[in-house]
Amino acid sequence: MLLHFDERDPRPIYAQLVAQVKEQIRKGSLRPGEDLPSIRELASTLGINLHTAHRAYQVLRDEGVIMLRLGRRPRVAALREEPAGRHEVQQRLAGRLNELITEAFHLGLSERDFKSLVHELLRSGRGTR
Amino acid sequence: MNISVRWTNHLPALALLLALFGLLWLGWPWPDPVPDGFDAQGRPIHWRWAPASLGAALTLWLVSFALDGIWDGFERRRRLFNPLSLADEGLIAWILARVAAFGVANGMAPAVRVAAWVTGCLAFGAAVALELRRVTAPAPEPDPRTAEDTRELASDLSALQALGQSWSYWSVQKMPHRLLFGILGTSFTLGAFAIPDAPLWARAALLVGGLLTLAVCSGGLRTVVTPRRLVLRAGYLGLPLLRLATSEIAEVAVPDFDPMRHFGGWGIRRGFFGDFAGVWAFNFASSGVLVRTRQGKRYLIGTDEPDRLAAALNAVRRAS
Repeated sequence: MLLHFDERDPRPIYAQLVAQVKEQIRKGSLRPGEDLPSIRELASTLGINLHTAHRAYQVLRDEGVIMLRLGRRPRVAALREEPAGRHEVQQRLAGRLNELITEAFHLGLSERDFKSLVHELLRSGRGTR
Repeated sequence: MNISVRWTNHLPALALLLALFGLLWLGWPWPDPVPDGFDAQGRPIHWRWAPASLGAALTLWLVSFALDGIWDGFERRRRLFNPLSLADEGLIAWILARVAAFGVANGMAPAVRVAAWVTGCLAFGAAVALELRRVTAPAPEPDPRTAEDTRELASDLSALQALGQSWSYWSVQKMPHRLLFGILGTSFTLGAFAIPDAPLWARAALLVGGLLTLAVCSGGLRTVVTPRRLVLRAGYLGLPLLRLATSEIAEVAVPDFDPMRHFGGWGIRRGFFGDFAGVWAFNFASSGVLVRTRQGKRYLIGTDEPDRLAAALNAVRRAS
């Protein structure tokens, strides 16, 4: 598992780590049940604050992506079998999609162009269902 | 590594099983329970069960081995022929049959006797079936993610190195037969307290051995590569085994090797023969990366994903 952070990225470090773990699970590089480094290991090897590593893992745990239990190594959780409920989709996806649609509008993309771009990315990327 | 398996490769294992079964028929001695209680006619009515308990513990151990073997078969991970791999099933058959033979001699309930025999025969049958299954089991399909992921990882790491960003790559080697070693570790640890009249040194050895086994089998072998160093740790507690500055790495390769043939087994070992003479191996399974330092030292680092670890090490080697 490869984790890194970019100091020039406007997102906080924990959010960058969260995004990387999620992407690696989507691509299949990290599989359900695989062990993740402990919070202390993550912090020391990346040279980040212990609280930052802890926060990244907490967010991943809260989103059901990893299992974080006291005294055990963090572990990738089983993939969700049923799609999330409408409320959760609205909360976690709709806002960001809206931002992308706005961005596409300002880039001059038609609805068709935007849809074909999404289709293309879904087809080329691994880990879609 | 993909080694083709011919039917003749199975002859030693089948011969071993037949030999065990033959010894069973001949009544190879096994420490039966010792009678320590007698009725008025001097017939034994009570036995000391220490040897039988030992047999039961051994059986439990071997059953877990067998279950692990079956699981591995389903996972299609067992590719290499190993004549010793069937000794466990054969031994289960032998021990259970000895229990049955003891029962015949000492008036065990007929149902229990039959059950022991049937279980022994089933274990023997399972051993043969497992062995023969290996002839027809197809070679495992290569993981489709491996090649693409490795290329992607190498390019990501090159980019990160060029940008001077902070990164770390984790690679893990899980210990095979974790269930078995977990049972062993627990048995040793409990044994340190449970065995009556054991000398202090024996208790200490059991305790240390048990705790060490539990610690190592729970966490596996973890390799962490950062732009500056490679660190190898073992077990839940992360016992440090090796620490190398990445600037010291001169060459990285993914070798084909057989832990038993080249290093005489698993764990921390030194190779004495052939291409692996002088190599320090840190290996819990059968795949790893060979690292040569600028001082000429060579280390075999066990990992479940050797190609990816090699890509990470090559990325830092090129940059340093």
